[in-house]
Amino acid sequence: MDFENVTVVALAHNGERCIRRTVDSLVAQTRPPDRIVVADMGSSDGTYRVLCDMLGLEPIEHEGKRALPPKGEGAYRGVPVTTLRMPPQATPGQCLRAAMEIAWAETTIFGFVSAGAVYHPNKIEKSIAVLQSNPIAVAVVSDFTIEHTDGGERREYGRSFDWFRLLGGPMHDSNCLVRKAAMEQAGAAFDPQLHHAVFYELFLRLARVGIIYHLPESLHFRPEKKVKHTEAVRQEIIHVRQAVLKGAG
Amino acid sequence: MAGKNAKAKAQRERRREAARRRSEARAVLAGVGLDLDDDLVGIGVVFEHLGPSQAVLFGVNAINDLCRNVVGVDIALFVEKQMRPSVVPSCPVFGVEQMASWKKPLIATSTITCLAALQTQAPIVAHYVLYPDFADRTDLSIEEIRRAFCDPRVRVFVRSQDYVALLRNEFGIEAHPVPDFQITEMLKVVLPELRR
Repeated sequence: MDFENVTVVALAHNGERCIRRTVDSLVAQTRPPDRIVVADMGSSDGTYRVLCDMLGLEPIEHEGKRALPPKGEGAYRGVPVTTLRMPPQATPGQCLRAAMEIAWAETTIFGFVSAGAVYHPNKIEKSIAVLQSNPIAVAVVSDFTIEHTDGGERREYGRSFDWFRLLGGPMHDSNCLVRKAAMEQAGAAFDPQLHHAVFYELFLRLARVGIIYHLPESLHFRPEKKVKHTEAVRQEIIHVRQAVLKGAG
Repeated sequence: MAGKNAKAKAQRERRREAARRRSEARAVLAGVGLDLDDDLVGIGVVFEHLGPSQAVLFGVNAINDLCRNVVGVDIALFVEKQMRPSVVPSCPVFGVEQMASWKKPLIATSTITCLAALQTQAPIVAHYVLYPDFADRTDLSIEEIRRAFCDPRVRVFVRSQDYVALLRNEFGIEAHPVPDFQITEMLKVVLPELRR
C-alpha cells in the first residue's frame, strides 16, 4: 500500500454523454483516487446535471430561482467527489487552479483527465509505482488508444519528453499524473491566462526540475478528436515557449 | 615435517581461492558476453544531453552499475549538448566531436545520435529506441531515418515489446526488446558479434 494522497481533476466541457464513463473509469481503478474533482467549464449542455445526478445533489434556492448548486460534494461508489461549475468565460488554467485548490492541502499527487477519456484500470497504480521508485520523476505520461467513431481503435505511441524535445514540439496530453511537490518547485500550477497550451506550459517548467516519465503502455483511451492548430493556438504556443525561455534566463 | 605440510596446505588454499575468484570474474564477464581471456572492451554511449530526461535516468544509472560491477568493459559517454548532468556518470564524458576517431562499438540513444554514430568508424552501432522518435523527426528525410534503423552496422534494441511490431511494420527489421536501457542485455548481443 502506498502512502500517497491522489486527487484526480477532470475537466468537462459539453461532455454530457461521456462524463459518466470517465468518472466510472476513475472509481474502478485498482488503486482508486482519494478524491475526484470534476470542473465543468461552463458547458451549455447537461454535463453539470449528469454530475449532480451521479452524486444525488438536488437543486437549491439561489437568487429566487431553483438551480443546481455551483459546488457540490458527495461520494460516488465510495470515492469522494467534488463538482464545480465554472463560468463560461473561465479559462482552462483558471478551472484547473480552482479544482486543485479544493484538495491542495492533503494531496501529494495530482492526476488529470479530460472528459471523454477513460483510464485503464491500472493507470493510477502503475503511475504511483513509477513516481515512488524514481524520486527524480515529476510526472508520468503513457501511450494511449484512440477510439474511432466507427468503433475501431488505434494505438498511439507517446513520447519521452525532456526540455529540448519540448522546445521542438508541444505536448497536449492532459491525461497524466504529476507530483504536487514538483509543481511547487516549478512555480505556479497552471497559467490562468492561457486558453490552449496550459499543459504544455506546465510541462516545459516541470522538465527543468525533473523527468517526465513515459510508460510505454496504452494506459488510457480517448475518443477520436480532430485537433486543429488554429493561428491563435500556434501563437499561444510560441508565446509560452518564449516566456518560459525568458524565465529560464 | 609439520611446517612443510602447513606450507603445502596454504598453497592449496591460495590456489583454491584464485580458482574461485577466476570463476567469479568469468561469470560476471559472461553476463556481458565476454570471456576472461578477452582484451579490455571499449564501448561508447551517445546521448543528446545529460540533463533531466528518461534516457539519462535509465542510461547513466545502468552505465554506473556496469562500471561498478564489470572490470573488463571500459565505457565513455559522448554528449551532443554540454550541460550539468542530472545523474552523475562514473565514466569519462566527451563532446560528440571527439567521437570521429572512435573505432569501438557505440550505443546510440535516439535517431539523431544514431546518425552521428554512423559517421564514425564504429564497427557496430546499437540503436536503443526509448520511444519511436522517428515519427517526430520532420527535419530528417525518410532515407536518413531508414539508415538509422536499417544500416548493416546498426542493431536495434527497443524498450517495449510493442515497439518490436511497430518497427517490423515500419522498416521490416527485427528489434531486440530490452526494457529500461539494460546495457548488459545489449552487450550480450553486441560483444559476441564483435569477437567474431
